[in-house]
Amino acid sequence: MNGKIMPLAAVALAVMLGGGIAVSPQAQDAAPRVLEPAPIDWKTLSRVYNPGVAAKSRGTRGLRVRNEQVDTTTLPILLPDATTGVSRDGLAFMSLGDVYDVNLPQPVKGLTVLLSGTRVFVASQPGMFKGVKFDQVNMGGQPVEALFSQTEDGWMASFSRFGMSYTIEVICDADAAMSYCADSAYIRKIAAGMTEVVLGAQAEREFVAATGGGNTTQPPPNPGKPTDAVAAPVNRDILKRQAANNPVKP
Amino acid sequence: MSRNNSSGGSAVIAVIILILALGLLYQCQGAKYGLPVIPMGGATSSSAISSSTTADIDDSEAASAAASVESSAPGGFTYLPATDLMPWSWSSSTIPLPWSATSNADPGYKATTVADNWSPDMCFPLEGLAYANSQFYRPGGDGYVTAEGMASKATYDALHAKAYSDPKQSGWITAANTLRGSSCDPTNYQYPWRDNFCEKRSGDNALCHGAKGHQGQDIRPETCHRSVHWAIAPEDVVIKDVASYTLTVRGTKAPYRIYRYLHMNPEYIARWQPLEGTTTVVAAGRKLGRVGDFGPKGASYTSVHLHFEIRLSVAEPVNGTLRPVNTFVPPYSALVAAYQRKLAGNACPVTAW
Repeated sequence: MNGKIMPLAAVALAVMLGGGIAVSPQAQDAAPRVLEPAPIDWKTLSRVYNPGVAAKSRGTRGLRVRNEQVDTTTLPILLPDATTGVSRDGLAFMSLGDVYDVNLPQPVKGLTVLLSGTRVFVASQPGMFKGVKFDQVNMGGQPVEALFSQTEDGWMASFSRFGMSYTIEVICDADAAMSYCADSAYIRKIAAGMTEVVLGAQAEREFVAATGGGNTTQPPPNPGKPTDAVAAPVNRDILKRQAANNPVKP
Repeated sequence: MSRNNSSGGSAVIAVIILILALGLLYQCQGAKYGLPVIPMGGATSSSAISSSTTADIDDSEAASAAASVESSAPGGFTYLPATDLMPWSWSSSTIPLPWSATSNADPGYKATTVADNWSPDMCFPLEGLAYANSQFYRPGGDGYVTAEGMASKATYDALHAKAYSDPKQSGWITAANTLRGSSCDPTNYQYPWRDNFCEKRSGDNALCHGAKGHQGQDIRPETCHRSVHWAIAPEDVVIKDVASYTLTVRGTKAPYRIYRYLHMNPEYIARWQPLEGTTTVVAAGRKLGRVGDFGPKGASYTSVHLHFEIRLSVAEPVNGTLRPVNTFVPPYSALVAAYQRKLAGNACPVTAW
C-alpha cells in the first residue's frame, strides 16, 4: 500500500513544485548583467575626427550653452551634418557622462529628431539578435551596420561606432510631420550624415592619450573636474601624423 | 532486493522529474493552446467597469478618489508567464474570425529573446490597480470580435460596413460596439495579467519572430476613465523628450534605461517640456501625468491605457567583440515584480503632481 501511496505523493508534490517554479516571481527577477563602460576605439575615431568641424559643431547654440555637460561626456558625440537637412536651431543637449541625449525639434509641426549615445551596455546571451537584418549605411565614406525599426510614432536607427552605441529616433505625431515617417527614407538620410564628431574636454584628453600610445583605452578611474572646452588641447599633431589614414583633413 | 528498491527509487525520481518538466511546460505553453492556467494566488476579480464607452473625466476630485487605492492593495493578483501571448495575437491573421485562416505558426517572441527582469528595481509606472493585457485582441480592440459579430460572415460584414465605412451614419457606434465590444468591458479589468510584448503589430521589433511585433506592454489603469489615473516615474529619471502624447525619460543610473509612456494626456506631459540649457531630474515615484487614449495630434486614438516601453543598449558577443544594439526589451517581468512589491506594501512613495 505504501509502495503505491509514496509515488502518488511524490507526483502531487512535484505538480505543486512544477507550478511554483513556473510562476514564482523570484524566477522572473533574474536581471541581465550591466557591463562596465565600453572602451572607445580612438584609433578608428582618429581617422574621421576633424577638430575644425568639431569646433564648428560645438558652436551650435544648444551645445555651447551646455559646455560643462559636453565636457563631462566621456564618449564621442555624433551630430548630423548639413547634408541631412536637420535643423539644429532648437537643439537641446543633456549628458549623464557615459550617456548623452540630443533633442532636435524640427521646423515642421510634430517632427522631432532625437539622438543619443552610450558606452554602457547590458549583456545579452549570444544569439539574441540572431537573424536580425542589419543594413549597411555609408556614413561619410565608412560602412556602418545599422538596425532600422519602425516604431509606434516614427522610426529608430541603432548603430555602433568607435565601440559605442548610438541611436537616431524620428518622431512624427502631427499631420505635417507624417510624411517624414511614411517610410525609412528620412531617417536613413540622417543616418548617412551622422559624420560630425564632437569631443568634450575629458574625451579629448583620452583621445590624445590613447592615440599617442595605443588603439583603445579604458575610461579613467577618476575623471576629475571638467575643464573649459575653449582651453582643451586640439589634437593637431596627432592628426598630422595619421593624415595618411584620414579622409578628412584637419 | 536492494536492487529492486533502488530501481523503485529511481523510477520515483524519474516520475518527479517528468512531472516537474510537464508542469513547467504547461505553465509556459498551456494558455497558448487554450488550456486553463493555474493562477498564482486566489480569485481573478477586481474592479468591474460598467460604463459602455470611454469616459472623459478630468475632474481632479474624481481622479483622486479613483486613484487613491495604493495603500489598500488587495491580494488575488495573478499573472500568466512572460512570453505567453494571447493565442491569436501571434497568428498570421489579425482578426480571430472563424473563417480566417490562422496558421499559429508565428510564435511571438523569438526563442532567443531573454524575457527576464530588465529593470529589477523599477517602480510600478501607474498609480492604483492595473491590468496588463492586450488592447488589440480584447473587447474594444480592433483584433476582437464579439460573439454577435462572429455569428456569421454576413453579420460581420454588415457591422463592419456600418461601423467603419461612414462613421457619421446613424447607428455606427452601436455597430462598432456590436462588432468589437467595449474597451470598458469588465473582463478587461480582471487578472490574470498577460504579456503582450511581441504581439502582432506592423512595427519592427528585432526580438520578435519575423522581426515584427509590439514594442512594449499595454497596461490598463484601474478604470477605463480617460485622464484620471496617474503615470509614475519608474526610477530617478531625466526628461528626454515630450511629444504630443508620448513622454520619454531616461534613468540617471547605469544602464541608463529609456522608458516611454504613450497615450498620455498632452496637457499634463507638456509640463515636462525641457527648457533649453536645463536638465530636469524627476525622482522615482513622481507623478508624470495622466493616462488616456491619446494619439497623434492629441486626439482620441485607442483604448485608455498606458503603452509602456523599456529600451536599452544590449550587447552580444559577435566574432569576439561586443555588438551593442539599442533595442526595446520585454517589460513584462519587471512590471510583474514591481506590481507585486506595490501590492505587498513596498511601492515607491508617490509624490504629488
